[in-house]
Amino acid sequence: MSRKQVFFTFLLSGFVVFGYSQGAWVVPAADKAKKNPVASTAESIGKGKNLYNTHCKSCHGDPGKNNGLPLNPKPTDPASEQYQKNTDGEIFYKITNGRGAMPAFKATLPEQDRWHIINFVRSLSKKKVAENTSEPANQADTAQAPMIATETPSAQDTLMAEGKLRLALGFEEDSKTIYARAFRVKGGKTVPVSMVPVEIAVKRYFRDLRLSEAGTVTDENGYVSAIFPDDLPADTAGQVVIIARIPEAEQEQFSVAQVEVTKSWGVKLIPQNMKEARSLWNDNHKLPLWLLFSYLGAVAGVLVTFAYILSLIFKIYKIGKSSMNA
Amino acid sequence: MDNHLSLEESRQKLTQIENDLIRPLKSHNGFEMWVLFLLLLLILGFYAYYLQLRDGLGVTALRDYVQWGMYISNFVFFVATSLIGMLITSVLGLLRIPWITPLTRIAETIALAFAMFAGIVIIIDMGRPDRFPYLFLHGRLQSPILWDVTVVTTYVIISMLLLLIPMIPDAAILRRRMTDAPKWQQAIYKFLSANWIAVPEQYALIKKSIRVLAILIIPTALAIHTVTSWLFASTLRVGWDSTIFGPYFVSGAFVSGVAVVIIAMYFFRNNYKLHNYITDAHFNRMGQLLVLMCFIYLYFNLNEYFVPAYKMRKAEGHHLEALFTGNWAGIFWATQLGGLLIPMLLLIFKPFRKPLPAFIISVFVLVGAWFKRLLIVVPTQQHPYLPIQNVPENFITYKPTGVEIMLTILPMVGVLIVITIIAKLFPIVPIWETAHEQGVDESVIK
Ligand code: HEC
Repeated sequence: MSRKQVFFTFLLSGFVVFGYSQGAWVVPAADKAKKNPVASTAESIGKGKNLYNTHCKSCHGDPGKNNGLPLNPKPTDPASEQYQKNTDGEIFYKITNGRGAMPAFKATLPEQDRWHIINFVRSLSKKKVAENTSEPANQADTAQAPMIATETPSAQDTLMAEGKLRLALGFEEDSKTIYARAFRVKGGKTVPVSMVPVEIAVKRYFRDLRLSEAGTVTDENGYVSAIFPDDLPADTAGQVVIIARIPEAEQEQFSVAQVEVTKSWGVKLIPQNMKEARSLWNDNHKLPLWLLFSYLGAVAGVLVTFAYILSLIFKIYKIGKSSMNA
Repeated sequence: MDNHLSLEESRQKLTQIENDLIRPLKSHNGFEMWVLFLLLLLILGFYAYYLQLRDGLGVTALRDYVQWGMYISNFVFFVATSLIGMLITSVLGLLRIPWITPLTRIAETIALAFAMFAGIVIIIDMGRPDRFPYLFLHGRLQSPILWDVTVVTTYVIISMLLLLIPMIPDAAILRRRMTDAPKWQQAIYKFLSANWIAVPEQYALIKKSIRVLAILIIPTALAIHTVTSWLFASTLRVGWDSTIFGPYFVSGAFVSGVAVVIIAMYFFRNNYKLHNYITDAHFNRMGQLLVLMCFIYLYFNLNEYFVPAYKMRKAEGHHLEALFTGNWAGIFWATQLGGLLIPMLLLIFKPFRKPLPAFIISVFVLVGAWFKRLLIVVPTQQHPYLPIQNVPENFITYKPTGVEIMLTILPMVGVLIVITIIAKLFPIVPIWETAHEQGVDESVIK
């Protein structure tokens, strides 16, 4: 038996013992009525998404794809109607207490985190609504938000059809803060889009360096921000390429959008010529001084001793000579 | 000396010692045959070198993988054996061990001969000996090779001084006694005797020079063999990449050095009829010294082989398996058992420290010591980190050619020639120190 098979057998025997087979999962009325105390902010949803990916995805699968584990009863897709039918209180109760193969998270997840997950789960069904309705809340807010300084839409964005999701980058030089904004152009007007997963990253060999937190989504004004670290190594001119984009895993659900801007915010690279400094591996005339002096010192010590010995022998010679002459 | 003799007794005693020790310089019994034998080998060796010069190193079995073969093993062996000069003259001398007096000149002669030829072995190993000066013109001071050249040269000079300075009173005696020797020989004695008149000031100067040199030779000798070991240990190769290679080499050096001195003692005692000077007691002592040296070396061997074998890191494992059970196992166990462990165990028992058994055991130890160097140098190169692929068969195995063997013997012949010349020109047991020890008044020794 493979490990998977053992696991399933274990699960199935669990159902038999506890008698939970397919029956409706009834939640006490008081629990059912419980309200979600955590506001459904972009931050909370982002956290919930991360928590979902860590703790739930292995069984419940990708939301909307109905690809959960083939168990009986099946871990339902959180985007499904059956799942969404649950009240917040009901979901909370189920996560907390579990049943059969569904583990109880009472001990493993703080209450706060369970509510974050619920906010995320709810956002799955609200998404369409949110995308279409979130207009800039008021003018004052937008004015406070930094100006979008640079906008470099990719080639396909330039040919964009009206209403396509686009990204732009803005910068605050003093604090080295990067803002990415998700928006659509509708009838000549820029409409910010909230709840869009956007990551801010710096281009790097092999794999870009992400600056924004994993799972961050745009706020109600369409913004995501990140702080540029002071000690990031860059090229000889200190230049780095900053990218904002929709993460690959989300592109299917949203769209492909990416902008890149080059900034001189990095630490300048000062190339070192390895053959410049004195070292063991360098040419003879670039040998380490300690080695040169050790060598010369030892050789000089030997030569001085030899000279001393010769002087002693010469003395023997002279003593003999003078007494022979005498 | 408590057994101090009167001046008259001193003169008689000295004359007797002189007669015993100078006699071999005058008699030529069997000497011609010996010289003929050496000359024959010399001619063969030069012919082999001519072949190597003409055709290049291709005449040897050295190829891309095994680039250091018998020549370099020979070099290590020579450097090792030469270290005995430091052990006898310096360590035992400074400790004022009395019984070494008749052995000091043998030890210094051996040290000088082996150290001199160590350098020549390196030139033999060069495919283009005409490039030898490049070592000094373009050498990097960062390279252990250059340190090695420096310390070997220093060691040769110190050994030569330690041979010649104690020779001053003897040269004066020889000058007086060898009146029938050829002119050039007398000129040598005259030059070396440095106007010796046996006054206390001269004695003081001689003793002072010897003491200074005896101290200087300790770091030099340690350096010469430690640096030789660094030629290997400063690489990352399996079997060489070891932190204890320095002391491992030095302790091994004393084993072969003591063995070679015992062999030389046996020859000189019998051929020069020196039974009264090199006695059974000397063999007994040297036998004990050899036990000690074998024991120390065995201890280092245990560390050098057992510890990596306990871990059997992958690359190291291939190397060790080749030594323990693979194609090198025969030589490896023969060397470790026949050249080290069994000799040591036998020499623990007094009967085996009599001259003849001690001599035979020393021959085994010396041969073992030579093969031990081969075991250190060659197998490692057959186990590079990158796999050996698509190469001719003779790149993988190492089977020394006749020319190579002949050119390994050639420097050994050179060593024997140098020892023969020194032992023919000078008494191999120092006259003045022996006389002094037997209570002869210092002032008559001239
Ligand atoms: C070991 C697999 C597994 C993990 C991990 C898991 N679940 Fe479940 N979940 C199940 C199974 C199986 C069921 C169906 C249980 C039943 O109906 O008896 C289930 C049911 C549920 C239900 C009820 C669904 C409905 O349709 O009423 C909710 C809500 C739920 N899980 C939430 C979560 C959350 C949130 C997490 C992560 C914190 C999570 N689950 C992690 C296996 C899992």
